[in-house]
Amino acid sequence: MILRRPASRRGTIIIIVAGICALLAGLAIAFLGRMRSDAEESALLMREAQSRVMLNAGLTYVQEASRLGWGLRSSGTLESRESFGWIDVRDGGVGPRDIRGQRMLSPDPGAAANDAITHPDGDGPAGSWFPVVGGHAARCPMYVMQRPPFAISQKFALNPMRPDADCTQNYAALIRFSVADPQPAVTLAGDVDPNGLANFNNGDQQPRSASLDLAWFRVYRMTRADCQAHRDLQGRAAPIAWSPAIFTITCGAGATAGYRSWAEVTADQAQGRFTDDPSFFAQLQAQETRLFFIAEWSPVAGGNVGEHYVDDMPADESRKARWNGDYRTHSYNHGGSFRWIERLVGEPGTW
Amino acid sequence: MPTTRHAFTLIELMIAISLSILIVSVAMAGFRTAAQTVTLVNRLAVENSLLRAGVMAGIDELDFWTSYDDPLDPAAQPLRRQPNSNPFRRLREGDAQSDPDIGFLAFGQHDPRSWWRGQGLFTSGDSRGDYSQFARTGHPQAWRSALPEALQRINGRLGLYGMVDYLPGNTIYAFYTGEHGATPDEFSRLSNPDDAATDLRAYANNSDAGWWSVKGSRPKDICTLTCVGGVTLTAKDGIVNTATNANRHIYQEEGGGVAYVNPQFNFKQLFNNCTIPGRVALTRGPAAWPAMRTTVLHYIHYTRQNHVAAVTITSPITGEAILVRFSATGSTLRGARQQRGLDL
Repeated sequence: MILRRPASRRGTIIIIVAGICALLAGLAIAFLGRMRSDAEESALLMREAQSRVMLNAGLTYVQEASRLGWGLRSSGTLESRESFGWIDVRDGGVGPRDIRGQRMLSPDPGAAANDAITHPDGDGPAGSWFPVVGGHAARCPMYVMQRPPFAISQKFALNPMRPDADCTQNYAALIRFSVADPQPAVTLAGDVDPNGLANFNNGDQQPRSASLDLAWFRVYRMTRADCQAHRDLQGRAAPIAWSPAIFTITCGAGATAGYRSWAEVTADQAQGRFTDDPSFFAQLQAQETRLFFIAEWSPVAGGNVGEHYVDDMPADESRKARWNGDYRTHSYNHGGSFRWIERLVGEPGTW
Repeated sequence: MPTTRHAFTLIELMIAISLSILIVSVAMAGFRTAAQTVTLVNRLAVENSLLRAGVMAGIDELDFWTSYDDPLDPAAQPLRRQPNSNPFRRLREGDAQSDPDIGFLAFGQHDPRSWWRGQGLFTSGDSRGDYSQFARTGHPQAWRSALPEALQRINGRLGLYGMVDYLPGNTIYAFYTGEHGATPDEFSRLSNPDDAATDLRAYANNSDAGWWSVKGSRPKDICTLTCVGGVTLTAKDGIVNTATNANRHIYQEEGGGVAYVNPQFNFKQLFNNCTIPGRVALTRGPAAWPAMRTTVLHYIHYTRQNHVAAVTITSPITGEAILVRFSATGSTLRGARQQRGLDL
């Protein structure tokens, strides 16, 4: 009789192979777990960076909105005009005001209460909206447009010099600029698109889907009481000096679109955005990063000028508008600047 | 009759052993490679985690200034130890609120008292008139002394960086200090106008060497004040001359405070020389773990406030070092002071 044990030998190999596979699978799972953990931690950093970008966006908004974006109520319509800053440099009045000193209004439909501003500090009545001091914050969910208004193409436009050109001519004459540079991102006119100029002006303001629900900021104009309620890093009362140009800028990275609470969502009738589900909104809220800053705007536009005072300044210098740095006497910044910025350690009472 | 086999033949055994060795060695090699990969991945992941933690710590430092002034630890407040002016000095009631429109905290641009009055084109001699009649410290008309005295007071309390931080961006950093003064002094007469090593205010002395020069004589705005050097915060000797100019914090690189021939701004030197030692993380971790340090530097150069954080990770095993530097918009000095309740 022949004794044969082939089955046990084959089983040994299977066990060895299975063991090695299990080991490798374990290592692979550990690797994937580590990678997932890294990705989650990176997401936290990404949100931090995203909300930091929103700080810059919020500050820029305050600068631009100091001069643009408001209007005067006239016969039931809103006329857009240039304003003279959050603090009017002419007399220190609370802005935005127009060239005649008339208070300017938010084009926001909810801003009708702006018409009733009477408080000497500019504090608005309950229910008023930004830009009223103490008014409801401006909420700005951010996204990337398909093509912003007045978009410029990244293409280079070549203007070659003619081979037979007279090289004694100046640069502009040699180049001639026969091809416009820079060029618009859309064809302005012609057979391709008869509405080219309108398209260029309006852009395609539809959001790029990948950029939706990533970040937002809110801007709230602080009242004297808000400044009195300011607290230091240890939570103790630490009032700060008030001016009508101090803003709370809340920077968010997440999908709540800048709504502070479900009550705010409801008041804005935006429940559909969150599937009409408060718990879903709460979940989004828990996942997002929110940073709170306050900053004081100043109408000062200087600080970036090399030649305020030069020996050979021409007598009529003030009427010149030259790019030559040697004779430039004023900065080309019309949005003002910031006196200071402060990160708040916690959520303020109003934002 | 067939032979009954109770064992392997030698050849079978040798082949089996050889194959087993081959299989096991391949398996071991694979396992070792996989294990090394996992170790390496773990190590890289730790480094990445440290890097992320370092960046977050750097952002926190930029926002809260705790390495410059830890509100919970008086021993970690190096700038407050400077004897005269210092950027974390508490303002007195009168500093901030004696006049709400021209105090440290306001400088309303609509208020004529905040407007600079002086001869901006020339500073030498009085042949072009006595401009100190328009504004100077101690002027009998209070509104003519308001700005000079505010400049003098804020510089004396907070130092140069603090003054630049608090004042509006269009400030002219000069004023007259005496009746019939023809030269708008930079806060006061210099003890040695030609040597910044003994008197750091020499950057604004009366020797005219062109607008780009740190020794240019004209009253300066923030651009000309900082176009070739920087104003920073540091507690290091040699940068801060506490004996004569406490906490001026002028930094002139390349020339060592002596040679001013078109010095170029050297960020690396500035960072190495002026940064206050940052925070070290994982001090209680195993010795084999990478070490992480986060440092920040606040300085004003060419009109701009710069807030830079550096994260350094060093491996004690390989000696490899990773350095990440980044800048971010965060709290300014005044913001940091407000976080500590130092203004009112």
